[in-house]
Amino acid sequence: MRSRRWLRLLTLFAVVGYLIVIPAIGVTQFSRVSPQTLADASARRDALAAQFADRREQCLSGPARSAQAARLTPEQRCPPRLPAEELGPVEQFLPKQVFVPSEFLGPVLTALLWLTSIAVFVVGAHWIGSDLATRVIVTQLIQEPRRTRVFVAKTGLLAVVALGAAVSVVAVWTTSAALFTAAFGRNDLTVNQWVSTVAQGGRGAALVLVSAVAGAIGAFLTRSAAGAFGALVGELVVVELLIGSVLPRWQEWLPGVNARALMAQDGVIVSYPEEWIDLDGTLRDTVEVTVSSAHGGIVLACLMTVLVMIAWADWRRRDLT
Amino acid sequence: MPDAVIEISGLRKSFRRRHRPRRVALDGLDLVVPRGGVHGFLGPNGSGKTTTIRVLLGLCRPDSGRIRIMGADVPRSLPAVISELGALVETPRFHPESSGRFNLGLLARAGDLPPTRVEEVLELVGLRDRAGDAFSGYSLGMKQRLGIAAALLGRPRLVILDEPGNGLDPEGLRDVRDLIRQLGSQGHTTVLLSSHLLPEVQSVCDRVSVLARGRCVASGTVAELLAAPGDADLQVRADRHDAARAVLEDAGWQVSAMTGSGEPPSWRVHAVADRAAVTSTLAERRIYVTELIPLQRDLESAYLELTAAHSEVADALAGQAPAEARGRGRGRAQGEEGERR
Repeated sequence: MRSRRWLRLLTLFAVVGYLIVIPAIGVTQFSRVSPQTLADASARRDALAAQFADRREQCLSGPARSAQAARLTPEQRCPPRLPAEELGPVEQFLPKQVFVPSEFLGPVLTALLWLTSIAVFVVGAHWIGSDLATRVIVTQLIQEPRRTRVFVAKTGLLAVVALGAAVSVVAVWTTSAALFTAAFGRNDLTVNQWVSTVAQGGRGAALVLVSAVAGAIGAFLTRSAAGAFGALVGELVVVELLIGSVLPRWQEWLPGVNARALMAQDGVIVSYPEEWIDLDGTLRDTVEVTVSSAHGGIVLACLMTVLVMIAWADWRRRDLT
Repeated sequence: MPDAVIEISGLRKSFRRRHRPRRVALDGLDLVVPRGGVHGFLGPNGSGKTTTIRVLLGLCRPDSGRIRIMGADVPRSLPAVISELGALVETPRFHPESSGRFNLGLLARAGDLPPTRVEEVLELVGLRDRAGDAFSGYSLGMKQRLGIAAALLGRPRLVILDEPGNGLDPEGLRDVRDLIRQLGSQGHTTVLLSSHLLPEVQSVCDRVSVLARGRCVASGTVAELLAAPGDADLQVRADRHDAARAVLEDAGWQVSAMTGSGEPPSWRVHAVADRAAVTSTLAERRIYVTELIPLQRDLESAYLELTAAHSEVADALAGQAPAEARGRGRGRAQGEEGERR
């Protein structure tokens, strides 16, 4: 397997990168939270509050500095009383920020799932592409001539690996986030936020699955990994830009837009110039369409189904010379 | 034929070409490979040998025709007999970064074969010592051996080998030849051997089929092909040496000098149907034959005659007949062509 070494390298980079980068971010960007650090932070907040109180006292006891200020009472012209509690939570006075899951868990998970989607596309295209380009597939078909079975086995295995990768990413990141929370933060997640995170993981896993199958199908149709990459770049760079500018109403059906919508909890908004009158009778010059994550999932599923059927039909009939 | 492992009738296969007419690779091929022994599959480049093998293995879809392997219709029922079929098609392809043993292990697992079988076939092809090396580091000969090992993995009843001698050194060629002979003599396995190494085919094969332009132009045992009636070459020595050649050529025979036949040199008269005609033709001109020896043809001559004759006929039928057209072989092939049509 020509791709085996390459895939091992990719996995190694991902694992080592994660094991190095994540702890490094934790240590350099976040503060450890302990009774001592909290006490120090509380002392810093109290000191700041005391500084404010001193300034206020000086202001109250001192003369007004302008004629305009002299017309006001001291209470009016001086800063208000600011107790330490009103300066903000004590974590804000730690030397570095605190890891707050509600703030970091979702965005980082989204980023990691995007990266995983790209990685599994590369893996799928490379695996199938190298089998076709090196003609190893001929050796395999001599052993197993049922092409549909070979197609399903390869695509299915890739789908399982992709789902496994997505689940692993979700599990690893949530575990990391839990460790971060224990070491550098406080758990502020509500039940709803947990549900939202799980849903995000599920949508991300769906995108990873679609991406892996797209890589494999691209390679099946173009007969090489390079062809699959070319098709992807062509679709994202040429087709989507072209349709976005020439037929902007069709944006909501573009794979790239739907992939983004699938990953976003509230979907994405696409807009195009068109004059219309709203219910209040106001003339508007832009139409905004919300592409929901469900819309994105359905469109991508339909698109992949069509592509899989085309690739399967082509694969069944193709002469391997 | 009830005892045939491969039966092909009327097989046609053409390939699309961009901006050009379709290329016909198989043009109504009929072929029968009987059970047991080694069946040679000969033909010049582009005659359709590899395409036939690819169609047999389901790698290419035929346009029309009927194929049966061990009684199963191909490609529909190929999966039913694939476990009894082993094949090596051209240069073997395996995962380059994986070892020979790993590659065979994958195939063994796919075929539900025990891992011990991998070691057996590695031993059989003499690759056990290098089985742990990456396939990409193998020489062409070692790759061929691994391909043969893969073909033998499932103890097949039919082994199809497409140019197994490619890249092998003389020692490797001898080993593969011995292996093929051994397989064919066991009775369990039939070997279909496609090769351009004619001496190899002659020494190993029990039967031979010759392909030209997508058709089978001859089929039979090697002895039958070599002893095709009436077209043996003759070694002729006559008292008037140079005059003899001119007379024979005027009479329409193709004549060439035989090297190393002593002094005066003798002539080789090609494809002579009637030996008496040679002597009488020369006698009529008062040239007397001092020596007349029928020459045993080798497979190469027979093969060249058959394929060349067929090509000329095909050219002629296509309106591209060469200016010179002499020799019996041509007439015979034309007859065959006429019968087919």
